[in-house]
Amino acid sequence: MSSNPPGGLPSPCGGAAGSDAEQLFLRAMLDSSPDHIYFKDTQSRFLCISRALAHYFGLSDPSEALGKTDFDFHSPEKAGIRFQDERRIMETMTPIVDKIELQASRTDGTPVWVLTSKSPLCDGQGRLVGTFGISRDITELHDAQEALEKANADLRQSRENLLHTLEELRSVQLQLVEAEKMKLVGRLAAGVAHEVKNPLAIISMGLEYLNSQKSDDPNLPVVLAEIDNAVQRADRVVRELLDFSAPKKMNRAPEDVNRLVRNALVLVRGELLPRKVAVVEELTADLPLARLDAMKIEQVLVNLFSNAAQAMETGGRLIVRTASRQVTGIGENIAHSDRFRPGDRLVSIEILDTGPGIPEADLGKVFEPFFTTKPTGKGSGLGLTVTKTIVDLHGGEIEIENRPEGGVHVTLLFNVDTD
Amino acid sequence: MKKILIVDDEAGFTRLMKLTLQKTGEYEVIEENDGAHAWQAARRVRPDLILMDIVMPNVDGGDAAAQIRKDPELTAIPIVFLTAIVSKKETPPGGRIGGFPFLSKPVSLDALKACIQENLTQP
Repeated sequence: MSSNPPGGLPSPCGGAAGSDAEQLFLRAMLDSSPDHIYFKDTQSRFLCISRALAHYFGLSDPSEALGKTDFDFHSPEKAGIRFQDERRIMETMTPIVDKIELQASRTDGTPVWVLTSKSPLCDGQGRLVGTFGISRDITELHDAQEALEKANADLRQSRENLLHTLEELRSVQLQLVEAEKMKLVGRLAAGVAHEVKNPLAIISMGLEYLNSQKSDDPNLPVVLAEIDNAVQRADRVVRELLDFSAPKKMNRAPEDVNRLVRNALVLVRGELLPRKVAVVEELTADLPLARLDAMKIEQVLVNLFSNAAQAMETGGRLIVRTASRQVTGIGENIAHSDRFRPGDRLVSIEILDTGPGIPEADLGKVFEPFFTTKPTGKGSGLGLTVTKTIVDLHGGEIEIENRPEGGVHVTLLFNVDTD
Repeated sequence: MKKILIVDDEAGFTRLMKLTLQKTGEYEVIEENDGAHAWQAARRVRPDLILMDIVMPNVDGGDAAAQIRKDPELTAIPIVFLTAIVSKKETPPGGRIGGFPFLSKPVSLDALKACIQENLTQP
């Protein structure tokens, strides 16, 4: 194909190799450029290569490459890719520009990345005579880019972590604000309790005095009983207010929720039996333990059972179900949660009744202080507020919803004790 | 007849308690409406039992009880606190505040009498 002397310039312009000066410049460039430069004929045989490429091939002089192909220097796989690239370039007369290739591995096994451009080679008449190409070692640049990408990913992760921490801090801040509010409410409640309970004590003592009086009026005992009733009611509200606002000291230990459920059921028997409420226990055996304040959780359960009983004045069924579950995803096996994350192991206590349910409009308000659906004088409207406070203090969750078939479905969720 | 000293700044309460307890015929009741005078009243009256309010202006029930306890001549007199600021669920272990038994206001006559009987020093 070429009549050039070995190591000499190809005649890219159909043998008319340009001026002597051009030849000189081209030779100088091929000798001094650190890039791998080559010219090949239409059979992908080397016509001419730069000294750097000759060095890379392990040749002492560029002229030694004349007539050889990539198959003489590279693995068949790599040489094949190059051969196909050059076929395509010549067929389509379209260059390949800035292709990043893994050229080879250094002796220490580290990869060498190159940026390659290849073009069709034509003579002065525009006839295709082969290809030429230039490859530059961009390993450092490539490594720097990889490092940059990794740093970027690390940065993104750090940002995620920071956002998560910020979210936790916000939650702690809210809890602190809530705790401060509760302290204030506590002081207020103690003040109110004192100012209300003292007059109640006077009325109550006055009633005791009148009760011991003989009277001909047959209505007097009824009147006194009504006054006493009112005193007890007012006293109950004040006591619940004190309980609600009292500092919450927790005494947590690993507990079996089934035991707490059974204890609480015993305590509400007096409310269930007269109403002919049947208890259905669906308690899963060998549940993992949860770190709970047994007395407080029993208070929660008694409160929920008692609410259920009061919703079934003419009888019904109280279903109590316990289970353990692992959170697979929020919205999947737990409805929604601010506290739990996928992977958390939980124990659940579900309480279902067959009463009339809660009006949909009231569902969002059930945990608000002083909200009640019970008849006047029957509830202080603090029961579920206290219940939610206790559950929150345990890092647990409480959900209340209506059952499609009627009645209320309460779910309590607590983290399993991992210690 | 047992002598009961009741110390409470609520004059209405002490007056009605006096009338009610005395009506049972079992007690003589002496009222004191200032915590600061509790100790003098105890020395003067030498009661068999003292019912003591906790929250009072000037000197509160806790300090007044401590003052009486420190007096060797009065130290054996049982003291029962009457308080309006403790709810039942908060009742300290053993049902005592600072080592003293207590009753939560409002209190029924039956509960009051039972508590007095339980804490009266035996003759």
